[in-house]
Amino acid sequence: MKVIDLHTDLEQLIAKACKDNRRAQEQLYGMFSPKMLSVCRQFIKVTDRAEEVMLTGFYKAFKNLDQFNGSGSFEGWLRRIMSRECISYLRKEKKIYFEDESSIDATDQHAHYIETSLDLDHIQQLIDGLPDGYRIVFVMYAIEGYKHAEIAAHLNISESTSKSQLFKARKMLQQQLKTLISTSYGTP
Amino acid sequence: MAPLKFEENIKDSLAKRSIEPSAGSWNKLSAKLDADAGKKRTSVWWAIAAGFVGLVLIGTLLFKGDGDTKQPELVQQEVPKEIIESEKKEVSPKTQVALETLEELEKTPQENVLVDQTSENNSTKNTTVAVNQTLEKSEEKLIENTPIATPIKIEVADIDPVSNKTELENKVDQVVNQILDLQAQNSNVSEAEVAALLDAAQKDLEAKSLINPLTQKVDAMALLDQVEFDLERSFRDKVFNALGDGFNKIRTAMAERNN
Repeated sequence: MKVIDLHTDLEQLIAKACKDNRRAQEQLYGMFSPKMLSVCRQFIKVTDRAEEVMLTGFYKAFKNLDQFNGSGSFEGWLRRIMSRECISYLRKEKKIYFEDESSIDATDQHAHYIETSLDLDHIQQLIDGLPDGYRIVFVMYAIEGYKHAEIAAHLNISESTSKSQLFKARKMLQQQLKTLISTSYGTP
Repeated sequence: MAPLKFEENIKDSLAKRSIEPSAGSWNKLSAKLDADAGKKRTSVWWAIAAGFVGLVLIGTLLFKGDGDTKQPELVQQEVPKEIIESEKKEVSPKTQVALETLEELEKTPQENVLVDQTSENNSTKNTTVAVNQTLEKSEEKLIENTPIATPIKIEVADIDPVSNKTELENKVDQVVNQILDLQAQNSNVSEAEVAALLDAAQKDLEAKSLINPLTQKVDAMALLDQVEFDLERSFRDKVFNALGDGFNKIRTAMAERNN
């Protein structure tokens, strides 16, 4: 019953926010902004910048709220808007650089992560350690669940470039993980 | 599956993560949304104002347009009698004669009937005469006691449509007489002499007809009349016809005397 009530409340809130009801928009912002800032933080290393991008994302979301048809989750819709906004920000800042394609293993067999459990700070530290091009493709593919075709379309690159970026990101993460474990947790 | 497990762990951890935005973040967003709404409202007011100004302009143009399209007022001016009289004189001889005829015909009702008949027929002398005869017969019973109704008075045949014709005929007769005199004096009259006489007579007539006797200036109406006249028959043809008629008359007279 609680889930149904929450869903009904969310629909009503969205309907009100769609009519430019500021109170409803504030409530939606309160509900989703922490998670959306987390999303933006995955892409952008500096939290203040991530927050600015998140505000721009919310502004666009409220302006185009009538385009949300309710078929998927509202959170998923917002996450996609935030991801796109982060990519746009990084593109404006000219921080996106994709290396030339090289011969890669397109399967997942190339990545052998050390079995360990990391806290969120260390996870974020590992992701922040990746170059922007690697990080974007890794976050989109491994965390946000995009396919290589979608990533290629969003970033205006080829699918093979997307796969190459992921391959390199994983290799780098393995090395960083090794270094992190050896320095923070000791040798396994 | 090790890499997937590691990445799934990262995914789950990050999906659950939430980072609280700064305290004034909503105020920033709200101010941005308010500014946008204000712009919308302002643009709506601007649109209304522009529409109002447009309506006023269109109305003004239409109002002005009505003023421009006023029909020109007709002003009646009294024409001096002198001009009217001169215009009357300038009217072509045919028209003048016709007008005079109409005036005469309007004097009696019987005459009016005849005018109608003649105007309807608008035909040659023979036709008019025929109409006169039929009218005479039909009106005999009705107007026995009214002697003024005799259609003879208004015979169109008696009306000379061109007043200048008499002058013209006089001139023709004059030229014919001159030629006859020449023939009497000299048995052979050359064509050159006849042509010279004809040219002189023609020039004399043209000069007389073109000059307005009142103003002693060339009359524009007379020029037009001359063009019309030239379209009918040439003066030369008329002289030759007159000569032919004269010859026939003389021949007939001689024949009768001999008989």
